[in-house]
Amino acid sequence: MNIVLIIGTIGMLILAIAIVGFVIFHQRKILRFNSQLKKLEEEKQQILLNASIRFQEEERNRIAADLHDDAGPLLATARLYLNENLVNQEKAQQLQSIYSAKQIIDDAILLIRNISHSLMPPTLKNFGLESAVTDLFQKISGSGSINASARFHDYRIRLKVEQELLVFRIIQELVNNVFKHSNAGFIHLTQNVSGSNMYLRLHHDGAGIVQADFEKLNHSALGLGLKNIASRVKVLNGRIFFEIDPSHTYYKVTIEVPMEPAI
Amino acid sequence: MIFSIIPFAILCIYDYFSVKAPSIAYTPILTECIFFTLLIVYFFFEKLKQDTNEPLFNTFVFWVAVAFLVNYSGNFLLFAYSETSTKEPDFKTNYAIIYSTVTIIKNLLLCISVTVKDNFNKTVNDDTFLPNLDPLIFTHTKTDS
Repeated sequence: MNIVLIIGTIGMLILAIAIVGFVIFHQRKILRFNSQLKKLEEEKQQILLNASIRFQEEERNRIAADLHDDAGPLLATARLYLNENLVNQEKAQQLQSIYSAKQIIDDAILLIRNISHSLMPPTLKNFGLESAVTDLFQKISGSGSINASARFHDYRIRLKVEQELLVFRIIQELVNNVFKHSNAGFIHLTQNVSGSNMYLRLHHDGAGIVQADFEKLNHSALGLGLKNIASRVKVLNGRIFFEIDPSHTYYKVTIEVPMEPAI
Repeated sequence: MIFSIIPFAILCIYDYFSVKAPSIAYTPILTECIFFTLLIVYFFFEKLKQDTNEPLFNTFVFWVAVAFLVNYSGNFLLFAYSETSTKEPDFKTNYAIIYSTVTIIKNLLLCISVTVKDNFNKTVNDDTFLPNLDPLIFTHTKTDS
């Protein structure tokens, strides 16, 4: 009896210790898994940062190319018209040269304005996100290739200019992706506010991606545009969700932006 | 857990009136052992489900739970055999040894628990709430066109 009691008690204690050991080891496994996830997240951030830097470099190169290849020759040509010999020429020729130079300078001004508008759309700066997005969608719809519409339900308070620009660039990139890859017939943007967050949802009926694809592309070398979107969303401290409608008739992309109203 | 007190109280009252001679209430004690052991195992299970960055053994409650798990599992057979073996002299010696040992271990574990610096926290709040914007496109796109 006593041996049974002692062995039984030891057995019970071993069982209790085994339970505790299992709990500790299992939790350590979970913690290790979490730390690996964190590491992966950091790597993802690094990829996003690299993509962002690469994108900036590409943008700079594009602007440099525009200035060098277009504005440079235009101004050089204008300079040729306005050389020192101009004073020795006949009056009619002088006027012709000045007129030509003026035209070239006008072209250069227009070109520089276009470059400047591509950096900061004037509608966005002057009238805000709603006007800029509506304008963009009207232009798209006007092209006749796709039915595009945007509806802002609650945009009484404008966001900070930097926030508006980031959101606008995200929308531009998303729309660009829809054009390039989805072959959609319609594209629609809805905006609303809930609490301190603003939500923008883009619907289209073409081919699309879901969140898992987005994450996968974000971790791969492909999809610079998506990485730019992800890095911009991160700068906004927002979130982005790629989903497919349960009816599988359209894809939707939802952007959540914590609102920072302009002062 | 609060409601489990009621059946336990009924059991204790029943046990009190059913025994003829005054003795230790073995049945309620055994019930308590089983109940608390299961409760502690359930507590561990719930803790494992929580998404936290803090190791469980860095928490105060973990060591308290371990202390009582050891106490209840170590004394379980002792209480189970007590009802039939209290008159055996060897049993009394073993009872003293086992009970004292388990109690010392329990108290040591409780001592450890008070030395652990507990960080209350830290469930990761993954709020994936999104308002439903879908009805808006269908109610308003018509007015757009």
